[in-house]
Amino acid sequence: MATVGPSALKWARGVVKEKEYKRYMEKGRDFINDEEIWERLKKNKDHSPQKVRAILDKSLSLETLEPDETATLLNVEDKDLWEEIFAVAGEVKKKVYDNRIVTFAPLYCSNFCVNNCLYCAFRRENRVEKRRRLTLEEVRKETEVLAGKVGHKRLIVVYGEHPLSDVHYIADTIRTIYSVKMKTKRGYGEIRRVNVNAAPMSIEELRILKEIGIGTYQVFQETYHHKTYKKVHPEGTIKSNYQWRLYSLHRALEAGIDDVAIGALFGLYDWKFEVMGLLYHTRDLEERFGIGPHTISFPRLEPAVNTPFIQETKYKVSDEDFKKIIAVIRLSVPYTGMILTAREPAHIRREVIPLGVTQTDASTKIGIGAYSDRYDEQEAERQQFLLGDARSLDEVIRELAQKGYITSFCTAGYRCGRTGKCIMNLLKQGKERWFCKVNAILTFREWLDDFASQETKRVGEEIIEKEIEEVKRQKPSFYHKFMEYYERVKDGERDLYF
Amino acid sequence: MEKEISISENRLVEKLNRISAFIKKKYGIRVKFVEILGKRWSYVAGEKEDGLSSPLTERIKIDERFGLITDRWEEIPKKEKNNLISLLQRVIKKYG
Repeated sequence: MATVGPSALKWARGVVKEKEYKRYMEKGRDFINDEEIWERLKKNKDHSPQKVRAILDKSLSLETLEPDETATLLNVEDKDLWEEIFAVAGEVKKKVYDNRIVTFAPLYCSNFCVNNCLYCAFRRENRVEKRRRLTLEEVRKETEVLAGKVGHKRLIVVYGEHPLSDVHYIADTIRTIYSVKMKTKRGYGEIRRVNVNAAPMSIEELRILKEIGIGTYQVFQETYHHKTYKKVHPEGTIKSNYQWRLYSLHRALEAGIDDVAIGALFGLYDWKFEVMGLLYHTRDLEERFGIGPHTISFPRLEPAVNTPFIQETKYKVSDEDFKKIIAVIRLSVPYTGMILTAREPAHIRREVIPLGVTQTDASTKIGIGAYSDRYDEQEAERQQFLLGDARSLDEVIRELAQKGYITSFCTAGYRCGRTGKCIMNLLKQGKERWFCKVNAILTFREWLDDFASQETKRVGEEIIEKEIEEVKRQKPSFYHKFMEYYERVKDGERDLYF
Repeated sequence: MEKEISISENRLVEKLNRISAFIKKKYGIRVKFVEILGKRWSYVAGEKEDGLSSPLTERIKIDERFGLITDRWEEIPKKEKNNLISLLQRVIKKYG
């Protein structure tokens, strides 16, 4: 099925607004200086334990690292020193977010795409991919399963770049998702936060997105290396414009969307370079807007149908290096949320979650319409790539609880003004973690009562008891107010939060 | 045009910050102002929270577009609360 007819191509020609990104550039250059990044990686070869530990101390004080410091960490070779780095990364996470892991589900709404990215199954020349755009009724059905059967409260909606999935379609799908309310065992299920992963937009379009009340707006640069970017995003496509993409979150902030998220697709270019790119991106957002990324994602390339590039790339990231990537991002941008997805197999997820991950997905299906179709096997022709972990939310939550993590369905922050600079301040001062803890307990209680299997409920309740004990011990003045909310949730009231 | 919007927004923030400081001084109550965007209540001005020891959780609509989040709002006498809301509505109409 052809995805790009003449009208789609005409539409594509009008998408990029040059003046909306050129005004951020200085002397015709963007803030990613490839030579400078390599220079820093080369010159910071001194990774003596003393120097590395001083950097770790800085991370523990929740300060964003300087490029030279991140480069130093990336150059560490000593295995024991890496173990120290991993341990401190976990400590930093606990200090900022406590032992909670937020869960979400991706909802792919359309896989029509005008771009032709070599690594992506949605690329327009991939004739094997089955194209589909969900109707609003289908979006509703998908949401009913996610909110009413699985129990998710938070989604990330995903769209290919195409006139069929322009900002108006995106807005309609989000409104539809927010309107769904499903009866559950003890209360009701609903999606309380919709984050968006969509192509870069103009400021005018971003204002439309802002009005709906989205959670976070996420755009991954894929690769920060200019030459590689050019190579994997063929000329003549919208996505081939590096700066239009690089400054997409600047435009979002300018449009008033004050929670933005960045990411790189690891496997396109050298992983150390990409980590530096993420740091430079973070620092530019911080410097210009006082607001860094709400989350950073670090997906690795996964096999995709009829996409040989993935087998051919020489930059595939090993499991060992993947751990290093996560730890160094955690330490470099201590306040940011970090998203690990079900792309990764279960055994890798187990290994890397303690290094600083704050969010993960489960019961994940990425075929268009796959949640309500209820097919269990992955269908490569309907997906962007293949998942590594297809476990249910119930299984993942049980395992996390057994390891001492509480699963959080919290969506409180953005509904009570903890957004933008406000949330940044709380995170940087390590003060958000208590909000995380109490809201995790309240929302986990809801989920256990509404959706959990008996076994998961049993394990989950053990964790809740420990968490409540900690609130009682460490926040005695707040404990009674909290317990009042907790008892109300136990009695079937829903959506109480701090 | 963008410059004009930006100046207007800054003036709104400035005014709301002043009102927040006034409420804190007069009633000892902390208030932050937000823009209401569907489910999202996005921070605009006023108090920045200082953690769980003093959470701001009481959400009050000023109009369809703006709201305030506070603690102990009920402690302000009813008439004065109404006056405050009227003042805020006027400020928002003028600068928002």
